[in-house]
Amino acid sequence: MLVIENVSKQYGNFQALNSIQLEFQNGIYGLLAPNGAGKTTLIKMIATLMFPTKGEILYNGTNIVALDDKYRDVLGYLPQHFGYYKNYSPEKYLFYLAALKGLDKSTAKQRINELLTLVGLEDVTRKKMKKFSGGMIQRVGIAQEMLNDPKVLILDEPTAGLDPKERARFRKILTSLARDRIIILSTHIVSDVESIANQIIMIKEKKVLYQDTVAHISNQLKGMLFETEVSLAEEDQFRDNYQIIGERQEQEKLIFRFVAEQRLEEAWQEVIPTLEDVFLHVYEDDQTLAGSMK
Amino acid sequence: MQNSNKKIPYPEEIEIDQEISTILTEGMDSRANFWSFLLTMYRQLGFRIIFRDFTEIIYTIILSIVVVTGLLMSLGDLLIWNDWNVYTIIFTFSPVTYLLFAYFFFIFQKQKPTYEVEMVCKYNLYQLAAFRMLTFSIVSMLVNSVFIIGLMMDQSIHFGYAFLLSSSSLFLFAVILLYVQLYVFSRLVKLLLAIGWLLGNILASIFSEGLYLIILQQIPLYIYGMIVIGSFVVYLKGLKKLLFASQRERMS
Repeated sequence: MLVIENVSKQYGNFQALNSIQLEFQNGIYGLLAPNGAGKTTLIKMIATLMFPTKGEILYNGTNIVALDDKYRDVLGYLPQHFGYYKNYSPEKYLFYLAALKGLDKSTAKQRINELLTLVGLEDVTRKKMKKFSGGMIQRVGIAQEMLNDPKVLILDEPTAGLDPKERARFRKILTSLARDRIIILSTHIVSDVESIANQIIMIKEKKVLYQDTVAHISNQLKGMLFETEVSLAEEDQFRDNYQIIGERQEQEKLIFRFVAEQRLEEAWQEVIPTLEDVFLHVYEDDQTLAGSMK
Repeated sequence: MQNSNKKIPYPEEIEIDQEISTILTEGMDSRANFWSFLLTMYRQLGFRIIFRDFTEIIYTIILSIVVVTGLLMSLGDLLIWNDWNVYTIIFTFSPVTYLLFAYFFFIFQKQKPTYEVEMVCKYNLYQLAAFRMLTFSIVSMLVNSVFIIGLMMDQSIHFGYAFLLSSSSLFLFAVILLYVQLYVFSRLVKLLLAIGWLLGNILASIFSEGLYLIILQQIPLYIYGMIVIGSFVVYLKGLKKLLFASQRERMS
């Protein structure tokens, strides 16, 4: 079990995270927040690339700093920008990293073959990576983080640069890996985690806002989410009165998906909220973020 | 007798694992000592992993030999070789090969795209760097010895004295550079240190020739021996810090 115990991180005068309290058992956790919310800081602290200003991170009851290489032995990490040596083939790079991870040659060989097949790169194992597409590189990244059969798998924005087909493939791979390990997936793309995560973690104003299942988080907007048709003449007033989550145009009318405390008009149709609705609702007014939506 | 009736709840599997893990973590230093750790690491990783950039390093050795030879020759043209004390040259230029290695191949560079992937491995960049730096210092010592032998063909030099002088210079510089590398990550500072060492020695030997030569030549052989040993010990201490300090200590 991995526990984030009252962790805060400060860079000079800037508070990046404040009193973060989280617990992880085996399964997939989606760390969902807009850019600038502190996801990467949290991820880097779990990966021992940064250290908390306050609090501690415990793996099976022991501080990961004290565990040092023993913790890194059970850790797999895919950074936001996966670095590689351009003149290396995936096989050569994976052999190099397998050695650094302490795997002996024969185990590494077998593992590399399995993983390159799992990520669909079995036909290009000896091709130089400089010729690879972004999606192929990302698949090498997924393979490398699985080399040591880690118990804690951390992925920072893993689907950046992947096309929809590759994203679907990636989700499938993750689901197959999730049975006996903790997988923490940081993303700002709701669809990456909506269908596969056992729990979603949302961070707002430097603190954990939710750690719950998709269904429970989505229910936060139950009875408060509606759709209705609005004429172009009424558009501005409607926008001023309600928080618009989504909109589309149909002929001369606009169809708004919006949040309201209660149903005020017959024409309003209550809709079932999704995780994306909650995400947009929660972060709509967050001015502290680098990529604020307003 | 009453106590024997007391029931002590048997701990759960996860509690037993936690206790064992805590006892092992607290009670055992699995990393043993400096030399055995390096040996184990070498056996597990092998030369090709630790020196994955071996070809570039070989180019650098060749380049460094060309640069040092060129520098010595051009200095000879500019400053009249015979006016220069050969021991001044040995002391000033002995760290050049090491400097080139350390500057280009320290490998612990946060800017490297592979930095994060390599840092979360069991053997991370700190440990690789420690092994490499030790090897670089020994190779530099050998390269310097070859230079001294080369100089002996043209100049009358006492090899033992020249070797100790060269090694003192090498390890004094290596210690300073290693601590700069550990605590100041800027490449500019390293470059300034290198320029400072070379210029400082050259200027000191020109403008304060008498004093400089007294310091260099009047110091007895055994003192140089002690300087070599002392600076090598401090150097090893720095490498040990790279090798064994926890990630947090090294990054703080």
